[in-house]
Amino acid sequence: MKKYTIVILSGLFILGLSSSCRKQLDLAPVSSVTDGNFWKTADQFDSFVAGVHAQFRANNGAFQTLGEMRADIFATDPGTNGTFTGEATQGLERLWTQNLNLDNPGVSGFGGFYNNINQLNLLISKLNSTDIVSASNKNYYLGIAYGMRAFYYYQLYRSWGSVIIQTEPTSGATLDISNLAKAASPAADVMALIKADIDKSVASFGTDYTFKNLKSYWSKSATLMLKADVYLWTAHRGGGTTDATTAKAALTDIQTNVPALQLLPKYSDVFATTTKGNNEMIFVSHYQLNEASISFVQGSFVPQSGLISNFYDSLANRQFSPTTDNWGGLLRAPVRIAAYRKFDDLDSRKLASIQPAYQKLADGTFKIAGCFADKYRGEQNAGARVITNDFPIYRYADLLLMLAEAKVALGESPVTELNLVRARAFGANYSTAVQGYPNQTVDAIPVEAILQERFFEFVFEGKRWYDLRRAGDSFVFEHTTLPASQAYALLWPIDRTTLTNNRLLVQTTGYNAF
Amino acid sequence: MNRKFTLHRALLTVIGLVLFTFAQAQTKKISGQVIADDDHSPLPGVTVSIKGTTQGIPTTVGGSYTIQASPGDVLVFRFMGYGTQEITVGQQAVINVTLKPDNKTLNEVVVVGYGTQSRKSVTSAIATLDNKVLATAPRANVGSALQGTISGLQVVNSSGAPGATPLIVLRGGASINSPGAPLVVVDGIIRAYNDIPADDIASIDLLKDAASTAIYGARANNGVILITTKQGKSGAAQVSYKFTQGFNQQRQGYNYMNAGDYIYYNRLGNINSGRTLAQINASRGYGLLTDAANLASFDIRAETPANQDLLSQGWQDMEDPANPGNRIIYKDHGKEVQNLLFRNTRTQDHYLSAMGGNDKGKYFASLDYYNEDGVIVGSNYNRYSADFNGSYKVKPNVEVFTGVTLSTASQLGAPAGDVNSLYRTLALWPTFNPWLDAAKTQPNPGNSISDGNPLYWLGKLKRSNEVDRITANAAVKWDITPNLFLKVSGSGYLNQQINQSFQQATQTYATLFANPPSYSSTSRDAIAGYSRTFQQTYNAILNYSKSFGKHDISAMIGAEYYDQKGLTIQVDGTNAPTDNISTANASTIFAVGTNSFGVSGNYSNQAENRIISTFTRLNYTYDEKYLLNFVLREDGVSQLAANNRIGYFPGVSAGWNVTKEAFFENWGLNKVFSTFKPRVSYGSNGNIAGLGNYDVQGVYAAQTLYNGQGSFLNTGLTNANLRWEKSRTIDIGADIGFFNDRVSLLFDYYNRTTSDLLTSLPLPSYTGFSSIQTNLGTLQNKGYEFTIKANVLNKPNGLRIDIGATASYVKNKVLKLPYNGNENNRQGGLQVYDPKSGKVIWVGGIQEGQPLGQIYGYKQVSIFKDAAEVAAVAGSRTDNVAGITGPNLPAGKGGHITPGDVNWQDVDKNDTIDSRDQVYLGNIYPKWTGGFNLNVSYKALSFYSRFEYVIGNTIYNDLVARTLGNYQGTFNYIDLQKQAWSPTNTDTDIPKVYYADQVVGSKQNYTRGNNGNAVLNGNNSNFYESGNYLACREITLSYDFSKSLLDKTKFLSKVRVFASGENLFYLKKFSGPTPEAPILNGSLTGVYQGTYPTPKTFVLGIQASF
Repeated sequence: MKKYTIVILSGLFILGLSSSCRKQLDLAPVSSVTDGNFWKTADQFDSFVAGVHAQFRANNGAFQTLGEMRADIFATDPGTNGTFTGEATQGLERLWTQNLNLDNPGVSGFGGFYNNINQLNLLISKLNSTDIVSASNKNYYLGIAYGMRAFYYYQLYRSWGSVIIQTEPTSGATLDISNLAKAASPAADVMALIKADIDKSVASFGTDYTFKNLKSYWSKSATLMLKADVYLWTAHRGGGTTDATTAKAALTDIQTNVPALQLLPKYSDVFATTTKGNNEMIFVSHYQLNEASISFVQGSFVPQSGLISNFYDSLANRQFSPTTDNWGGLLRAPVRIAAYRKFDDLDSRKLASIQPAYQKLADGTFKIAGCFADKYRGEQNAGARVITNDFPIYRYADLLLMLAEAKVALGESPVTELNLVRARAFGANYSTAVQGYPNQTVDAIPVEAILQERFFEFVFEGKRWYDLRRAGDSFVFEHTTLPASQAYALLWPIDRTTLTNNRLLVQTTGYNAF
Repeated sequence: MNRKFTLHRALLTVIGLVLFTFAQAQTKKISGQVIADDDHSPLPGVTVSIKGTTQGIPTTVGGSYTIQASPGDVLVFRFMGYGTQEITVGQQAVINVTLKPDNKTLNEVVVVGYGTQSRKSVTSAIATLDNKVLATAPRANVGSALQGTISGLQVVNSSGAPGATPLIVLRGGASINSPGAPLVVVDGIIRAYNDIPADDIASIDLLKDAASTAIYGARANNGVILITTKQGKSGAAQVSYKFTQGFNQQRQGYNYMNAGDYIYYNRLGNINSGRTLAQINASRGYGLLTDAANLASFDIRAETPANQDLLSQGWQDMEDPANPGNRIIYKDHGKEVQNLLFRNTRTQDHYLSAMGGNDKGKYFASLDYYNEDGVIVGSNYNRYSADFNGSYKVKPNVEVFTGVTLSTASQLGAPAGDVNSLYRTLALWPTFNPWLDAAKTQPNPGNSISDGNPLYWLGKLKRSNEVDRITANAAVKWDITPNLFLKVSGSGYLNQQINQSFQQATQTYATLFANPPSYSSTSRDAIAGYSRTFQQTYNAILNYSKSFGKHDISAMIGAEYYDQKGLTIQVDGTNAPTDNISTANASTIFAVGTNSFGVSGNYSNQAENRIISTFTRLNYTYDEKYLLNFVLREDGVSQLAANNRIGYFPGVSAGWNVTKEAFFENWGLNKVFSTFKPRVSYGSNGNIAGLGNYDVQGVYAAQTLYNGQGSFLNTGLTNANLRWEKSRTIDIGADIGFFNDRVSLLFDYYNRTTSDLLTSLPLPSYTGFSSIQTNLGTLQNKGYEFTIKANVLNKPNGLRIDIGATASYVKNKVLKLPYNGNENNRQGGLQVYDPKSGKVIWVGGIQEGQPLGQIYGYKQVSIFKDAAEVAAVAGSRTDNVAGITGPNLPAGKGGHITPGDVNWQDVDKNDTIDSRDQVYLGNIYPKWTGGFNLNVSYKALSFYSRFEYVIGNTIYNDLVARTLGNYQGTFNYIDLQKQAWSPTNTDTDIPKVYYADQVVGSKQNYTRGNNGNAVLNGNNSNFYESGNYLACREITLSYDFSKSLLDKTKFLSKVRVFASGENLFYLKKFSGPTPEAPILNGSLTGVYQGTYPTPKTFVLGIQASF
């Protein structure tokens, strides 16, 4: 019997050993934060607000693609399928040839915007239920969150029309994975949400017009710029003078309360890496050496250092050098030579925005070979060029030109605002009689004058396609390769994966669903 | 032929010795000779002892012995690799003994996890590696030994780079989208096997079904590989040394064009795509660029009277196809870069071991040095490893065991990475001169690490890598009573890795020849990474075994505590002012987060997980006929939420030794069947691999800095409901032996259903998260496995022939997926026209009721021969993929369909080619895997060969499509392009040559609608190739020196020399150098982008024992 006692006792000992250790299975992470211990301190809120801006920055590429890649800026010249430097366009040509479909959607997954929308929803919900954050910060952060959310929905609205409205944060505890499909809301509802969010943002900011972080944080002025943009859009679509008045009021509100905003004397200074947070900027996405660089510039818009060195800059009568030019990119989206030639030679924006490249012929003369974007020059660091310019979302020139647009819509003269922009652009060469409104040919139609001015002013800032759309769809057909017969393609297709993952979502009308 | 040496057996021996000690009475001299049954040669060094005593003497070189014994004594003859024989002394004075090799599959000792078992009593699916596989070839990684040698395992060489770990999948894998590898347990420690020298291994066993793996519970649903290393044994000390030298030869790859053909086809392709002469001439490689950098690096010019003298200096000239009437002068540098990239190399392996012991203590020690240079320049693997283990009986019933293993290894891959080396570097412009000087001492950097002379980049990148693994274990075994023992073990495993790299300032040909010259990068990234995992395991087992008449009972109960702590630290400095210091102390910038190269920069990270378990096993045997086995494990893990973290994993199995039944003999069945044991098992086990340590708790992770501020976002949802994956396996098998077990067959049929699969459910975009882990998937794998061994011939003259073969068949099917409202809850996939039903149906992706890995693409019917054929077949066709149209329609965005373009199959016959016209082209997963071996020995000479095969999978050859399709735009073509359609070569299956197939405006004859990404579906059917192959993995010829010769040396006891060829050839349809299914990030992709080819290796070796 003793033997069995030993067996039983030893067995019990072993079992006891292990069950007494059960509590040791509760392990908390050391190097990351969990749901259980976030939102406990004010600086966690601060870091989250920095997070939504970092995520906003990560969406800049999609903003730029949606905002201008289908417009009349880019194309291969003269109609072949490669760029003049030899790089392949690698699918980007589908954008400016209006050749999108569900497998080549241009932008997939709604640009990834819902990622940040969800973060903003979470931020709003946590801000509304915390007392850890000081009242002034809380209101400022709510102003940011509502304003930025409206900005995202406005991107979605302009690109896909009716989209899903999501204003609650996704929670692991409540997510019903057997019931995930959700249908899009009518475009009108999306617009209503945008306007409501703008109002909430304006109200949350109250009288706080301060800028933070070299204007790289969303601010009340940013919300007002968005407001003007949105109301101008609806003014052109039945909103009429009421909405144009609202837009105008939002813009003059900024002018009144932020008097420091002005145009910089020199156009190229606006974008320089050395003038961050300058007086012209209203809201930018911040880039910085060893932090982040604008990836889409070198990814698609500037040439390889070695390939471009076979071409010449005829104005400077020099060959491009891999040392000083050193673009270090891949030229997938060259600028149309015609787009470059649209600029007046005296306009300082021409060479500050676009770099032409020439072949040197045997007889020593130059022949233009192609053009590429030159607005974001970044800085040279350790032998490589790093694009660390801030990416402008709203700046004072935009304010002026939107104000001009509002005035035209209200039957007023846009002369003051247009000429401020033109005078800065032409600098010493400016003569009201020649370049001033209404003395240019294009000025005969004020709307066209504003559109053209915006084209010159904002090229590569992700605005041209949206500008044409805002002015009215006919302007898109007039200026881009999209014919009126393909009007459905004013909106973008939804990609296959997105459709698969949400069975209640339907393809944008006009595009194939297979 | 090593006999498995195990603790179990050693203990029995020792116990036997103690129990049967008695005084010797009258003794007499007995003598005789011991010979081997297989080759009938005398066996020296056989231990001859009298049972129950400690006396023992070895046989002489001639196999003879003399010993004092009394009648009634039992003589025990013991020799490693042979069955032990016992003979009772009678009146005779001469006892000659023939020892049989102990290679009977059905008698082997099988390691089963926390113990061992005889194959005779095994009732679940366990496979054991034939150790012959490990005997000869030098192996950087023992994983390769499992290739085709163990049924149920698919072992795929992920790369031929030295030291590369193969992908190992058990029974088709148990997961839909997070592949898991079998759990590897080495001498009781869960660890990697990468660093274990093959010669240290005593046995490798694979637990396959749930009944056998349930003892490892939560981590075992992908099977368990149990590796047992050699332990000391009592008897004369034995020192052994083995040296192998391998010569590695690069494998024949694709043939690339010479410079003349390269220029011709590229310029022609550009013209065919409508590119202008100016654009062609502005292109790298085949263009006529005139800047200093290009003139210095590319030997191609427009021919002029001034440069015609080059023709006498090795240059050639040709008519320019893009500019008729003009000539191009060029120099052919084809194959120069290829010859720099590839090399023939050597492998060296020195292995020294010693073992010995007596009835109290035993020891084993070994040292191994392995070094292999890879056939791609810059790649290398080298390793030092040591193993020491011993045991000692501190009291008659208490034995302590300790062991330590140490290894340090370094593994360096191809500097540009495998894919870029195989695709880009090999396809480099053949007009590019890889040298800056005529003496070929200064390499030209070219345009980047993959697009230049690899020697330049190798010289600029200082890399070092070190993986140190240390294990230490100790155990005490206390025999409380003869039937009951308690064993308490503890082990520690430290795995640390140090990775350092330093990129010196680099140039490209453009900056090198710029005026003034400059650098393309002086960031001088200096990275020092350190990671450390410390794992502790403590367990106690109590084992009781007893026979009651015909009843044999063995019961075990145990508990285990497992803890794993990880720490990773990285320092990443940039902008050092000098190339001379390769560590980060000279760096001037230490960026937070991501640096400009996209490398995650400076950080330290810590994580921990724990598993606490109890387990029990019960074996019951009645009269050696009826076998019953029951296993239960309870695991608690820290990775799951508190309410879900405990899991129970039972297994039950039963077997019937039919041969033991009286009727078996009565019916005469025993004349054919020597063993017949049907068995059946059922069990359940789990898995949480793929789940991070803290994933279920919801994650707020740091983002990149924003204006210097730290930032956080919610990157993972809380997921408290996550549970274990559970696999339930039913396994029906049989162990069958024929003709005294000369032929043996192990057979298994299994059906494994893995439910509650940790399945990633793609979330709709509005949620803001891309996916969430759920337990909603169910996957079924069914299959058959066969292992056959046969001794075909065993002649008295010493000729012996053995063959062995394994075969595994597996078929998977998704049974259940998370509900998402789609038909079959489909995830991904595409819509194609189904000619049978006349409807458009969803195929591919992951769908309920369908297998994984289905491939769909566009069927190339033919190449349009001429305009007449285009007009006849596709006159009114619209190809919506390429945006091209037939001649009867207005030109599409990409122009018209022309002769030389692909005639795609118009499945729905609507004159429109679009994504609905794709057809089924195969599956990425093999159906059959296995291997066979042949062993012929004649006296001292033996021949061994081993083959492996794979049947049933399809591989998309992206490398060939990418190269022929000119995706990059300037690179070289493989020879196949010469078969391209042309007005004079109309009967071909290679389309007309074009520039950059993937961009709009091209005809998209290769890649359809995916912009040249390396994706599985939607390409030209012509480039989907069969993955079937038969590989000759090993052929070895060895010779054992005769004893008489060795006798003269006075100290050598055994000398063996051998010559071997590894991976000598493949019989394959796949056009690439190696046909192994392509792997990316630990799972089969079905897309071949260029895999580091496994070299052919010729090996010479010698093994000597003293």
